Amino acid sequence: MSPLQFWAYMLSVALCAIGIAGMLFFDNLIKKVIGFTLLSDGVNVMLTATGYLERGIVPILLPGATTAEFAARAGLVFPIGIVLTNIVIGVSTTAIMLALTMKLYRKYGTLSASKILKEVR
Amino acid sequence: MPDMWETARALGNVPLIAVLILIPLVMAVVLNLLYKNDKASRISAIVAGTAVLFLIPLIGEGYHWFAGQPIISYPGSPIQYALSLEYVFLAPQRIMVLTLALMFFVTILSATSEIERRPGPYLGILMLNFMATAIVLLVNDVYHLWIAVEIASLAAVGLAASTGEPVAHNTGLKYLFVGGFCVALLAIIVSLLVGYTGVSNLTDMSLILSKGLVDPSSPVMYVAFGLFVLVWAYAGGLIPVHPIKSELYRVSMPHAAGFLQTQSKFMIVGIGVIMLRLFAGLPYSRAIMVAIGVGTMIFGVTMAIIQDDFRRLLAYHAISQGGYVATGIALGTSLGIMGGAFHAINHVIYKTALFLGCGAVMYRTKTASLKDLGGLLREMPIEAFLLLCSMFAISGIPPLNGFQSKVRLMEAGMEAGLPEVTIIMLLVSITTFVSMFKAFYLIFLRPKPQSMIGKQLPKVPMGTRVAMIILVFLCFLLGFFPELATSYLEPLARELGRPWV
Repeated sequence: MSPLQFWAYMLSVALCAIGIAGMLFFDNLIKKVIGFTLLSDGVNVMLTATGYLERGIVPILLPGATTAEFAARAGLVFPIGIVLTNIVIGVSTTAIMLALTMKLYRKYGTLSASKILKEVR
Repeated sequence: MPDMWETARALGNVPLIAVLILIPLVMAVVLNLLYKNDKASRISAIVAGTAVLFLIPLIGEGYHWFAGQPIISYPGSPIQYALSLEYVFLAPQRIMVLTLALMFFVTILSATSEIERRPGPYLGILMLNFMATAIVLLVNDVYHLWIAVEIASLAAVGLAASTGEPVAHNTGLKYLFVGGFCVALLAIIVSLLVGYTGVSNLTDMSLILSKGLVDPSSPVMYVAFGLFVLVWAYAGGLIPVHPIKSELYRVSMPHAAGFLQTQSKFMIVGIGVIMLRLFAGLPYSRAIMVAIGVGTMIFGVTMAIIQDDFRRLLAYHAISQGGYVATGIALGTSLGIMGGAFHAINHVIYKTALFLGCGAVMYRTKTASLKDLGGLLREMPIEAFLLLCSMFAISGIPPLNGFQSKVRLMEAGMEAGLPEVTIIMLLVSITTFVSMFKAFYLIFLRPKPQSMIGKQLPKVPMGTRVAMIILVFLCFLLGFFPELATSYLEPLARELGRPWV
């Protein structure tokens, strides 16, 4: 593991931890949603770090390159593909979270999760 | 000897497998575009449901590659790599996807007859739910698995929130937070597994692990297994995530709840099978999974028996029965896998009938509270009979299908040398019987409460009644002829079954 990869993993762990803490400990729904986006970003950094290869080449089989050389030097393309998908899905999930938050705010006039829970019960 | 998924590669590329996924995907978009035209929405949804149902017997066995690259052999490598995003369609997938499609069809029938205004978006979300669940059953790569679980999570919230009630919005939001966390875990699992093995295809991954090309019991695999257990619990509604799942069933419309619990059961099988393929070699992995399954059975039924709302009671029973499926798969023996997968098929049939029956009661009385119901036998004799049959089935009473799968699961417990698991299954079954018949008595047999006397009750929609008749017929059919399903599941049980150590 290269130093860059190591620090990227550390960053992703930090982002995930802050995100999970935000989702668990904040009472405000918007802050919970922000916690979720931080968690999602942490996962994206982790995936990018997984696909990274020190002194690697772009994972495209260029003319003249042999399969063996490609297999030995190409960075993992798959995690990068997942990151792109995760960004798209993360946006969709955040959009639905915010839509439901708006609905609840209109109904109960508060963004406090505990107050909404009391009202619902 | 090549495994079941490897043999699919020799059977050829089958484009119809992709069509099975494309139909609901395209229809989800079309139904949203048609949202102003109720009649066109209803007809399109029924046509799509029928098309999917009739397409499945026509699909040949084989695989479908999305990337399409050939199998690669590296110099000196003992295995050949597919490296691709892949669906596999063999006998076990056929019977499970067929059952899923049937539940999808009856849910469409019931929803189109019960939802009076703007059914299009709801039916569109139902299409996405079907698509995501089918992908989990067909999938042979971690990328599709992750995407499918994510789509299923979003679409489940969509179905629940479509009631428009604030309680459903609140539950939907909670479910999304839990789902967002668990799906992030799944992305981390994908990252760990792909980083560790270098491949995304599950057949390639299990070959790399089984041939010892990487250490199958390294700390990476332990962490991946631990996270996978949480994802399995989330997707299947198992402990410790079961309260949010049961709440989701409770706040959804009954036909939506029926389909959501169908989704959960097939998720337990689909993800459980993947876990057995990757982690069965890890010490205590199956024991941990069995503990989760047994715990879910006990928690589910304990909560169910104290409920005074029919929909909530069914929601907790759906959780409890998920425990049976999970325990069977987790035992990992041939009989256990057979029993677990067969119970998933049986359970989704009678539980969907029960949810539709609950929907029929709610449609007529506008309540599911057992305190406010009573004396409905005269008004709804057909629904009462159909509900009674479904209750017999869930309680494991012969000759219905629930008996056939429960007896296999209990045998599997004994065969594995775990009589305590069998005893718990038996006790949970008896408790299920008691709580179901308490509900039947309160809804149909006891005298009408004052609040219901003289009330004009609307008739149960024909679509819901037809759907229930189809499902109860299937309960009897699989009860008398279980081999209609088990013969399809045998390759899966044979392939993955290992003695319990």
